[in-house]
Amino acid sequence: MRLARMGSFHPTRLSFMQSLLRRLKRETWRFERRCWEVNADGVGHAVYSVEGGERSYSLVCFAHDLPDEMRSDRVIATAWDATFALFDGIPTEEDIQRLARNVPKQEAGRVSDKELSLSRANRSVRLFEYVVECLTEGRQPDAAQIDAVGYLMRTTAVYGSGKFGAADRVRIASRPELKGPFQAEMLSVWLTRSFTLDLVEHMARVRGGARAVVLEPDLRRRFGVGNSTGLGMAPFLINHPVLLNNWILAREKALARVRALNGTDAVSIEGFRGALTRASDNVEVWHSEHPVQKEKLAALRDDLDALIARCSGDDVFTRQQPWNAIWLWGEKALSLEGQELLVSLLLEPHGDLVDELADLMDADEDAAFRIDGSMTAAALRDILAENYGWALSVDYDAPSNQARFWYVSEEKLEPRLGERDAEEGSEYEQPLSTGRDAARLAADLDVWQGEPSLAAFLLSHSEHRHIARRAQIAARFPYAEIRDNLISADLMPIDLLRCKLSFFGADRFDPRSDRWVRICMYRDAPFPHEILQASE
Amino acid sequence: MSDPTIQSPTGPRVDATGDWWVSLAEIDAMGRKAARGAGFTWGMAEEAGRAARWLAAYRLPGPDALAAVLTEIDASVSKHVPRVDGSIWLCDAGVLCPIATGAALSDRAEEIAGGARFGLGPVHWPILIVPFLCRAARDLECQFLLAGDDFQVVATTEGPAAMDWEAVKVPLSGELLVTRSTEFLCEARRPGSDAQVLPVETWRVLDGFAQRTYAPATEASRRAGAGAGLHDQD
Repeated sequence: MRLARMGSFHPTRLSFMQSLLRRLKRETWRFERRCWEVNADGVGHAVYSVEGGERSYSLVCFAHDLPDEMRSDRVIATAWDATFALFDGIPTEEDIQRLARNVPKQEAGRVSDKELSLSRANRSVRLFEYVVECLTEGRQPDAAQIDAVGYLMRTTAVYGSGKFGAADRVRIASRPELKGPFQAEMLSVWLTRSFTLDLVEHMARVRGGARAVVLEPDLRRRFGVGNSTGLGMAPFLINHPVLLNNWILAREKALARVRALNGTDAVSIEGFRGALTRASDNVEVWHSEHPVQKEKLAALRDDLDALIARCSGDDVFTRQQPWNAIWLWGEKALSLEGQELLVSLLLEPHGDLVDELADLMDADEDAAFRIDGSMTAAALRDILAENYGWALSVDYDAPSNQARFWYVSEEKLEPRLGERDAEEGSEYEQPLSTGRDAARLAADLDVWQGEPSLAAFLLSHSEHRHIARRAQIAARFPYAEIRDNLISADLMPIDLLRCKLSFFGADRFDPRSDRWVRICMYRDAPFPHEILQASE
Repeated sequence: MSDPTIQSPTGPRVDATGDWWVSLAEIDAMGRKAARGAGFTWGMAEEAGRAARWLAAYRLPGPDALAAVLTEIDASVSKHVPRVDGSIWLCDAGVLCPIATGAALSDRAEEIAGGARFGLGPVHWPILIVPFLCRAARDLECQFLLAGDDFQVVATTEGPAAMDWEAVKVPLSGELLVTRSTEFLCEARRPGSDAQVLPVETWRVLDGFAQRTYAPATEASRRAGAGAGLHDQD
């Protein structure tokens, strides 16, 4: 898989938000806002719980009064409009007090293994104030203004899996509801969305009293949760090759299943056309100021026109393997953005066929960790030839081919991207230069004169241990390695972010530079109180 | 939304004393960074993080052992790497690094499973070899014995088994022998829950090594490294 394609992915029904909501609904989880202690200034805390047959989870929310000048989405911020922790179970008063001392500090605090995620959010100042004002005066906000931003708050980090003392993944990986990737984080964001809407309605009530109104349900659904994501997330897909493989493999298998269908029926056609209309509406209001994304969006609009024209008559659906025919046409006629949107559209009406693949998207990474040292060095060289052809032919002495280096900054302990020629610090380079490392390994394997085993080679060449492990993984997992030079001058880190965020289920990708992107999550999705039962 | 796995675990506050709570994921990440900071290659540093985490999961002193080893062999890692050229593995420094030795044994696990026997010279914190043998035992579905004098551990597919864990948690071993084993010593140890309590000093030592892997901030990196780009308000 190449970055240009990964950077064009759209959410599908296999995305993690979608599969979470399907499960909670199917398993008839219950929902309750257990606590709302927010004062007239909008400061206080609230607790939102979902309860299944065996377990429950609670989002503990802290609302703060943040001066405007302190509001920043950068990871270097130290205060936020709201902070959150997803608690494993129903928190006691003591738990809430403990969290109140730590959660508002985020990275500077510590949580415990009773917590599954730690996150924070900032207001969209423009939309938040506007909505509160409208509701205070007893009127509904304008849909176009809501769509222009899309959210009341945007999260600026959602930390899970053992960060800052939170529960490790092993603690939850055997629970069916959290086995899939990022399910705890997605649950936390879904409940955060409810909190943001409850908060504007609360503020309006405080200000307007009896005059104030609540949002109409249709308008309410238009709000998602925003998110700003920067380089902190970028190395993830490179650091988790087996997981990346399983995500892409599930998506590819799903597409293959749909393409293999011999015929179709009216329900599927209607489902497809409905998804196409929704996608078209979404692209209408999807804006970006970034030149690259602007160009991609223009192409996507053309693609959608072509796709709608192509699928307007019924004849396209009556031929043999109709979905395959549409796909083959799309591969030739559409841009990468359009092709990848077509993947999402093709999966949409085929839940019965593809939804089970969501269960294959987690990974036992430890099982792939041990290097097989009994393999011969020559066999590893063959693996490189087979799987790293894209990397071996690159001239890494050319400055543009190793223009960048990934490092971790002392200041914020976050991944950063440096310019090798212009900046100091390349001696701190992180092992994310997969292509160059593979080429160096191949060069040393070519001149290896020692014992034939990889065990012997790696004892002499410990510097290749990292990439040797990757190569053995790549030989077993076809989508494990991103087949692009990750240190080249033309690398767009936002492609990595877009791929990962699409698997989360996010949309309206709006790159704000080549290194960070704004998105919206759960826009148009149902609220917990709409699809879950009320707790007794 | 940042990487929910851990790029860079935080060190303890300057004034922190007593116990420090960490997750297994933090031990893994901190161990990896710390080993890199002490001069391991990235691939070997990954082995170190995994080994420390693995032991901690079994309530064995992984982070403490790793912190002690890194302090001992700091910046002279290559002198503690075994020479695999005779019946007994030795190194220039005299005492073997358990991570380099564990990795070399793991790489030759198929040979050991096939009947090969490897002798080891003295090893720093030999308990750190156990995770390598257990992972290999699981992958190859067999058992290995690591033994010498009082020191005796069987690496089984289920986990490590030892009659006397105190004899295994030693800072320095005598000569050891690694063989395939069918011996049943006792029940294998079971992993505990994931929350770990460490002396804050251990974490501070590891963090000290990890700090060496972080690039000092410069004005250029502050400005460009994270790609601030457009204003982040709306």
